Amino acid sequence: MKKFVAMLLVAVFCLIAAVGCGTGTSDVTTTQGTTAGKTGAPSAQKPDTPAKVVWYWNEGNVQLPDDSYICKKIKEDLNIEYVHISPKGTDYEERLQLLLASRDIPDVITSYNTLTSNLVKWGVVQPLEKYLTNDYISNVIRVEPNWDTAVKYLTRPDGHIYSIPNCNRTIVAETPFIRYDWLKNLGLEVPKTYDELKKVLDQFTKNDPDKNGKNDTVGTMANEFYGLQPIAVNFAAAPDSWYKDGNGGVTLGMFLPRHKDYVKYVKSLIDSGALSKELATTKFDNVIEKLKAGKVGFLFTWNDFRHNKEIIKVQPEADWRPMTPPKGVYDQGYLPSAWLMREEYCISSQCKNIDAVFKLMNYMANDTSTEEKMDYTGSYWPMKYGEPGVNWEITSDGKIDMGSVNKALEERNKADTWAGRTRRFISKFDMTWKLSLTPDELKVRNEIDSYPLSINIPDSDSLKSINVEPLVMPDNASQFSQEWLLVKWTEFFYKAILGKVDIDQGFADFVAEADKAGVKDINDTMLKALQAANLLK
Amino acid sequence: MTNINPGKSKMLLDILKFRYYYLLLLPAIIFYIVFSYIPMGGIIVAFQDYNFMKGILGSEWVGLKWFEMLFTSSDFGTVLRNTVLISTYTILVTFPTPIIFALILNECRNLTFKRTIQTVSYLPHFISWSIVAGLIVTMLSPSAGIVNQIIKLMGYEPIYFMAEPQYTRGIIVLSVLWKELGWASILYIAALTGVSAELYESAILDGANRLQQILYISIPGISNIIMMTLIFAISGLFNVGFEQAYNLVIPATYETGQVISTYVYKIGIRNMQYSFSSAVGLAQSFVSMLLIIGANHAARKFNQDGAIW
Amino acid sequence: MAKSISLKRDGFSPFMTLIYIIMSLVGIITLFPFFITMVNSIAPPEDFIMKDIILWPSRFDLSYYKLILTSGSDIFAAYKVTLFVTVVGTAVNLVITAMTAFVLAQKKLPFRSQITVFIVFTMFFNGGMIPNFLLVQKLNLLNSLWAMILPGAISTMYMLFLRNFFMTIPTELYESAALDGCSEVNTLIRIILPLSLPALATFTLFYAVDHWNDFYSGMLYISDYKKQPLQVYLRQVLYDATVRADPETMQKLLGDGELKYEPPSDAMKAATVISATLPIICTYPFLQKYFVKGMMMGSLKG
Repeated sequence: MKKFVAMLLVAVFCLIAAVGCGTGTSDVTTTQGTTAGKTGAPSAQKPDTPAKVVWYWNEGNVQLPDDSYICKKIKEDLNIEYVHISPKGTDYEERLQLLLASRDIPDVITSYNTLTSNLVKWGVVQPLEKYLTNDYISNVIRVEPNWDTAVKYLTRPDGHIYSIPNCNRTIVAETPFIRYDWLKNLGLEVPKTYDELKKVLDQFTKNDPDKNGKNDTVGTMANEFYGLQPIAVNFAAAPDSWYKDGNGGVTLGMFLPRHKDYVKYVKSLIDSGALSKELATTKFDNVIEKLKAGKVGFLFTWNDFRHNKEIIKVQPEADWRPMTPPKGVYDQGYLPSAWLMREEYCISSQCKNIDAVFKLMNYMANDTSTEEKMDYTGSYWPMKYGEPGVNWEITSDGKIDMGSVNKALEERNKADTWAGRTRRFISKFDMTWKLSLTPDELKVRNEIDSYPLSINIPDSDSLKSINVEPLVMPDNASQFSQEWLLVKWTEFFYKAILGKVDIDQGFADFVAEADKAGVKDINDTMLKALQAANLLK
Repeated sequence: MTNINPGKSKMLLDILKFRYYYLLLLPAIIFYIVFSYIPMGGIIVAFQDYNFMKGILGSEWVGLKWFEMLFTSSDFGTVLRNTVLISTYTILVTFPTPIIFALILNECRNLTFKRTIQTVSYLPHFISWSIVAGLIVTMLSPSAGIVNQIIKLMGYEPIYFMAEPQYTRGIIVLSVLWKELGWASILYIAALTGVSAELYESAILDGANRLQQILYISIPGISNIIMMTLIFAISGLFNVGFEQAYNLVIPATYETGQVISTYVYKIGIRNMQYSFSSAVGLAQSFVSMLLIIGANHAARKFNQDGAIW
Repeated sequence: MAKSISLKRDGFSPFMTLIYIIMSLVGIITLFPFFITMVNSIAPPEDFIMKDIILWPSRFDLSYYKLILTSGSDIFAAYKVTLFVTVVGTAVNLVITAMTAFVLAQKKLPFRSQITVFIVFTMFFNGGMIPNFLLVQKLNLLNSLWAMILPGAISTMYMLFLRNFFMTIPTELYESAALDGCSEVNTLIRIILPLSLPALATFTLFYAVDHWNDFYSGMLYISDYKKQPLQVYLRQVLYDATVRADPETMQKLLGDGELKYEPPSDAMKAATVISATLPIICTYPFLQKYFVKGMMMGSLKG
């Protein structure tokens, strides 16, 4: 009897294991309870069997409720069973790896430049040129204003096009904001050059601009990417942008001699205290918190600057205003244009319902079913546009006249573009985005959030960075090596600005180390690729 | 049951004698085969250029390419040195302290005190590293941190600890101690309760004072646990936890703080370079295996029971 | 018995007082992060803006917890999932670990070394994310709660420690048990286990906490958001509240809205951690009595 207990225990285990194994599924793409069917076999033989379309987004974990309005509507209107997968930011690549490894490839994958390269390399996606016509996706073509350019961009070296573009409606840039009340308190003018900016920031730090009797303010706060990058751009030496190297080749901004000027400038800000010394440990959140606390006088930030509303609440007397970027090495203050492509949609090489996919895309592009003034308020791609002198003016008493900006904003909200449509479409999945603003809130938002805006570098300027976005990255110049270069650069950057290493010497060492690691090969490959794609002017 | 070979027959007899033990072992063996050995085949992607569509069997072989890439990378020396140094300091600091803590706590007579301190001590284990790191950064801040307030009071200039490479390793090690001391001591506290009270009694009758009791009764009583913890710690010499290194090391201190796990993450992970990270993992595993074999061998000489095998 | 114990511990001495003071300091130092986290989780947003470190909130603000409760689909489902996995998982863990440790504790077991090496080897060499995922998929375990239990059924390290605990039990007990006609299993259940309660309590705690804090297997194997464990669910909440935040959203979710600001990410992080941690911390006192009381070896005659 007692000896049976041992056997019993073992048997119980096997039972548990077997039972456990039976409770799951092998269907990787299940997102809803039990309604999703088994993998494979998307047979749409019977006319009333809905075709299944699985779309993998990079939207940040939007979860689909079972009775989602949009899925029901799609089934009704199109007879398509739509599965929406949208993992959280960092999980996007991981989940995709798992799906690919288990051969459960989503029908449509929302992708981006380097990922598409990999997908093509692995044979995951199929060429689409024959579908990019009005026979298949007429609505999409109609609402995509940059269709021809985008399609040209997406053509790969092998002549095929593997994705359907979705372009940024407009351009967004990092805009400098400054505490106008501090300027007034100290009797200063809005700085026009970087030298003037430094003087203003020094005064912000030393002369108690908020008149509270305490020495607790600092000119600006930033870290190497948030807040300082635009300054680097204005020195024509942004570390991770490509520039002509003056000898017929191309190189990254971090290797140009004028990059030293930028580093020296930043160092001078730190030395005089105008830039908070703690930038090395400052995360994005902390910068914003310090802003809100009213301790900082200047910052390059995204022009949605939605935190601004909170600053109003915390510090009503704070008068943050946008300003034209100070003049650096260019003729005026400039900021880079944003990428043309917001995202691209690839279609799996194993897709069995490609007709359904296009039907769905057309439907999304033609969606007039929403009456909501859905405004994409996420922080990723604020869509603002306009130019000084065109859409807004600074009046003689220093205010911003946004009459024309408001109009532009209205137009944007009703925008009948692919990007606008897809945003609204996606937003339906997330119930919390179904909001409309009260008129007061809208007014506040319009006033504050519609500040300037992007400023473009004219073509003729030989110092501008090369737009490599349309380039299908050659392997050698791939992000893999660029990541490493960026890591080395940040190391050098912080050592230099914190005074641990002499800038000239440290720069020379940094360049030498990169050379040893083969940067010349990367530059050459990049040059050839740019020439082949006709992107060098 | 008659066998020709006496040695063989003894072994068979033994196996027979222990047959119910083997039966009890069966579920574990099945478990290890299914969940560990079967997937272990996936290790070969470290020698391939893994193609997600072609899978493990279809991907192209690249041999030692990734290993070469890792070992010849100009940062490898620094990164390896940092990893080993930080692990060594961590072991030196965080290995004995939970033991001492457990021993001292054991000496406390007041039961409520004992329970309170023990409960409180393991709480940091539950707080995520990003929160703990944030706290540390705030406390060490040159403008507002408490440490620098004290330094300023004493008349010195504030030190930007987080940005000075000479402090980085110390900061990491002390943070690990802070966070894990209490949790690690649980094992020893449990072990100490198993030491027979009679041993203590006879020691006292022999005139042993408290310290001698600890040295000659408590510690030997938990020696096999101590030994095993040490062996596992040594095998982890080439792994520094990703979380602490990622959260506490900034670019200004990469030269002393960048370790293998963070380095690989920064240059590889975002590009779906699955093979590369597998290769690095394999190299680390291999070295860890060698270390544990060595440590175990040494331990066997010292204390047979404490060794793993 | 009680008398012998008092012989062991002499009364208060300056040395002991020093020890108490040092231990109290250690206690305060280790309490600090948790205390700060608790404070952060109920401090209003203006505190985060105005202060560098919050030692006490200027007022109590429960909106972060409210947000956690109302954001997302159903936090109670997540708690239930994690509870199930923890309870059932720990039970499975304990049984199989105890069995294995017991067997490997027998010094005379033939091939004992080899079997141990066989097991220890798996601690170091691991196929990686993709093969493990494919295996779980082949076994039809995807989206099943058992996927969070079975692949981790034994922790080799814990098992080996438990084995060592078992090895401290003198062999005479086995002999007397055998004389009484006990089978191996009975020896395990009736004799070894009762004498190993501190060890068992320790590993119950370790396994339970591992299950409770397990984020990775939930994220990897469960795509059905209704079956997400607590850690995955809370990470989602944190992300929604901080990265994707929309102040109007928060306001709508919270009704009349105390929260007029985007919740500071430090506050949300703190509230998330507390929500996840408090339940498991509360179970510890129940296990603690096994550590502190201990079991006397005087039951040799038993």
